[in-house]
Amino acid sequence: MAPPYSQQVFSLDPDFVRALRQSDAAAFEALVRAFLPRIRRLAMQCFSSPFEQEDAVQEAFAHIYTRLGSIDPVRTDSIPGWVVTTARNRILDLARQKRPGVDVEVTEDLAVDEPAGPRVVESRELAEVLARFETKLNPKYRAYYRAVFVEGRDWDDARAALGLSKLRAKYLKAVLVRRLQRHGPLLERLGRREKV
Amino acid sequence: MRHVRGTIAAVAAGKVLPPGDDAVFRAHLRGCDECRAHYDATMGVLRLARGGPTAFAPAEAERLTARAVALARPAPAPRPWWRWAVLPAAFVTAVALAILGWPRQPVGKVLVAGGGFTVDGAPGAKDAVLLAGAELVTDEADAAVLLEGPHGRRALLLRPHTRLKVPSADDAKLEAGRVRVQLKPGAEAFRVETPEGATVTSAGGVFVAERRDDNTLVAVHTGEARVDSADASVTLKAGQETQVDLSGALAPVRPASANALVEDRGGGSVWDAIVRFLRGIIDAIGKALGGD
Repeated sequence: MAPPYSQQVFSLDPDFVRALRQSDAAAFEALVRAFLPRIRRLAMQCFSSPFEQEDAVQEAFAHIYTRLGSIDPVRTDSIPGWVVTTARNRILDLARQKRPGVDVEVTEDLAVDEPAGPRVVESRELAEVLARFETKLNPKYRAYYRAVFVEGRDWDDARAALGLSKLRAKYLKAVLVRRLQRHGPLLERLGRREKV
Repeated sequence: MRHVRGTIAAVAAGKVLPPGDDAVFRAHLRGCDECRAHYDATMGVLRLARGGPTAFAPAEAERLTARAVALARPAPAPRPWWRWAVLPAAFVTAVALAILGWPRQPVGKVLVAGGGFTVDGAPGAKDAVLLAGAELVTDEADAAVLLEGPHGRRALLLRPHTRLKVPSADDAKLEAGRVRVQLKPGAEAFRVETPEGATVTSAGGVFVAERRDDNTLVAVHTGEARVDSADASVTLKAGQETQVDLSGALAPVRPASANALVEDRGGGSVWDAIVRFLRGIIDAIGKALGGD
């Protein structure tokens, strides 16, 4: 069971910065939530495997956590840049450690935020694959699929929105994950991408 | 060793594993190519179904956040509402135990108990409480324990055929096999004593100690560790290893070999032998390039 999450929001307010410098758990959690998309994007530039990307993200946050005390309370404007640069350096170190001799570079895009909410499909081809998958899906599974994968809700939010019981949602999750894992055109696209 | 497809399916369906279970799960994926490929493919299709390879899979953000935040969260203090009701009974028990002999203190619990895992000779189950001085023994499968004390929490992964004693939440004594110790960065020092009497001390990161035929290998994955023997001490940084021989002498610090840091699937299967053989080749190439 996951620990209860706080609702604190990342800010450059002096109280928040002080809490961050003291490695306060709620403040660190707010930092993680605020920077996760960016740091994950940095990791994606260095590692193609989702598992390795997740490891790199974790290592980057662990590295940041050990250095919270070095945040300059006077130059709070520099904190976002410090977080991203610290994570970037750690991820680059990991990538070089993993593949010595390969030139690795990442670009920092501080301005872009991860799109949240409804799905934005990256290409027409993928959109067609997903549309076909949805059409073939048994209608009784479709509403949950749409809520999670098209509307971008989390599994539990979607369950609550559709008024499903936990048991029913558990069954639907298992079915949907299994169907997606076995959907040839999606696996084909995944294989094609991994070869690139 | 068993594969973890069931856990992969549960994680894909949004389950956020507790930190200790998560560490064991990821340690398995790190050492098992088959499960890792399955995990990658599963996460890959979930991301594509969400719109593309850079999209978040359902619950992925929550999982990554929970894992990162676990670094900062102190061990939860269990405070059941009925605690006042048990106080008198606990007092009577404490007095009785004090008369009969001072009780052993709880120092942690079992996170994952593989087949054949025992605690003080009895089968060890998940969530079983570990008392100071407990002897942990694994058979063909891995086991993981969480030590909790006033100085924080430490996760220990015991590989197959390992025998380890835990005198307290702050130290362990390796007698056979291999143990992987995971500590939060900046944690209080944790000590592992090797069979030769040397001690490995770390205050954050991940290190392994493995008892071999004529020495004990110590390798650091992340963070730092100090190895002290009777007449020498060395500090290992991430990616370095040393060996403690039977006389307690320390070998020079050197870059860790591929086998030193990566956990295999255990059980001594043919697949493990192949993986170890390939890692041996990688190390030989590394040494040749380094001019050794």
